[in-house]
Formats: sequence, C-alpha cells, structure tokens
Amino acid sequence: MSLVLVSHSRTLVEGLRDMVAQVAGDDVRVTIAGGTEDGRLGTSAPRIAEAVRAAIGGPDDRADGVLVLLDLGSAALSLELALEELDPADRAIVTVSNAPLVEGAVMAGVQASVGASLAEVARAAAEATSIPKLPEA
Amino acid sequence: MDSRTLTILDPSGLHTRPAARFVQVASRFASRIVIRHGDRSADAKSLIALLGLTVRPDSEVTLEADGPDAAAALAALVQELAPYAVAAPGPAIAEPAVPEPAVPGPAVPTPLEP
Repeated sequence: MSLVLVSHSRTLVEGLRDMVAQVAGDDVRVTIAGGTEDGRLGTSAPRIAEAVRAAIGGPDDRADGVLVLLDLGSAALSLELALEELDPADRAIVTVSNAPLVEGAVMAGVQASVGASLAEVARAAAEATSIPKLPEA
Repeated sequence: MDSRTLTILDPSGLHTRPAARFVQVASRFASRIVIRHGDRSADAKSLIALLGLTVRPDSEVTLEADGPDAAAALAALVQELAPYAVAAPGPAIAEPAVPEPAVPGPAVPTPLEP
C-alpha cells in the first residue's frame, strides 16, 4: 500500500509525510505533490501524476493499492487531470479519499502499516472525517 | 478470555503515537482484542476506535483478548504501553461474568514522579 499526499503547499505535505512516517514506520510508501511547478502555492496535474506513478512503483516494487488524499478546492481538479493520464491498469489500483488530509493520512498510514488492503485503508481514512478534535467534555 | 487492567499515566492520555503503535502490535495477533474504558469499548486493531475512546491520563483501561494467542497478545500490549501506563499486577484471568478483573493486593497506580 502506498499513499499520495496532494496539497497546494509543498511544505505542508512534507511535514505531513513526516507525521505519517512517525506513526506508520518506513514500510508504507508515501509520495507527495505540493505546490506548482514553479514553486508557488497551487496544484499541478503533472506533479500529481508523477507522485502517483512513484507511489504505484515499478515492476519490482509495484504497490497493490494507492490511496490519494488531497486538500482544498482545485486540488481535486488537478488530481482528476493527473489520473486521466494514467494507464488503465495503474488507474485501477488508485482510490481517491474524501477524508480530511491530516487525519485521513495518519489513519490511512497506520492501517496500511499493518498490511491492510486498499479498501480497508480507504475506509480508515474515510472514518477520520468523524474524529473529534477535542475530547468530549 | 484473558484480560489486564492498566492505568494510563501519560499526561496526554492515550494519544495518537502510542495508539498507533498499539494498533500495530495488536494487529500481529489473531485474537480478538478489545480495549474498555468506562462503559465504552473499542477494537484494539482500529486506530479510529482507539482515539474515539479519548482515554485521559489517570484513567483505567482494560484489555481483553479472546483467541488462540490471547495471553501473548496481552503480554505484548502491556509491554507496548509500559512507557505510558502502569499495569495491575499479575496476568489476571478475568471471569467473563465479572465486570472487573480481580486485582490482588493494593491497587497499584503509582503516580508519575515529577
């Protein structure tokens, strides 16, 4: 299982990748696509496509599933364009999560680290939507 | 069914990092493992469920394991929580009908020294 983190900000996904690595360990491959090609805030379909391909891997280290998590607004449009560039066989193992980026990535990372399937990892991320920020009073 | 009771001492309660490690250790075992906190319980193999328990410091949790490797699972999980919690002494075998496992001797929770 691999994760792809997509954001308007490169530093945001770099930090989030560190957080995921801390809870999930080194066995879960995490790739990132943050910012535009010229380093501004924004999203770039080619950069996202590159990150997704890196997450899928090659013949020797091909992932059995890839979950993509994204931040706001146009990230979804750029991601859609990026996914259209993929071969159908690659596209078939990619799932896009509707989860909030930070919580979803951490939950998905932990679930992936215990050898869960793409569907299970996607479900863990989706459940992150309902995590309360504050403990119940 | 085997069970162990622990008192969480970490000032942050059972927060994300220890909870994540806990899930990873629990997932190595075939037994069904449940963590109880007050009147709520969570599947020990689900991080969402664990975080949803919002275990506060100085509160008790009970680990219950049911399956072929239950004893080993509890031993591993108690060890995993050692930096964050104090276990009641001895591997107590809980009677399923008894809500709280028997804890011999004085209750343990040793307060964290400053």
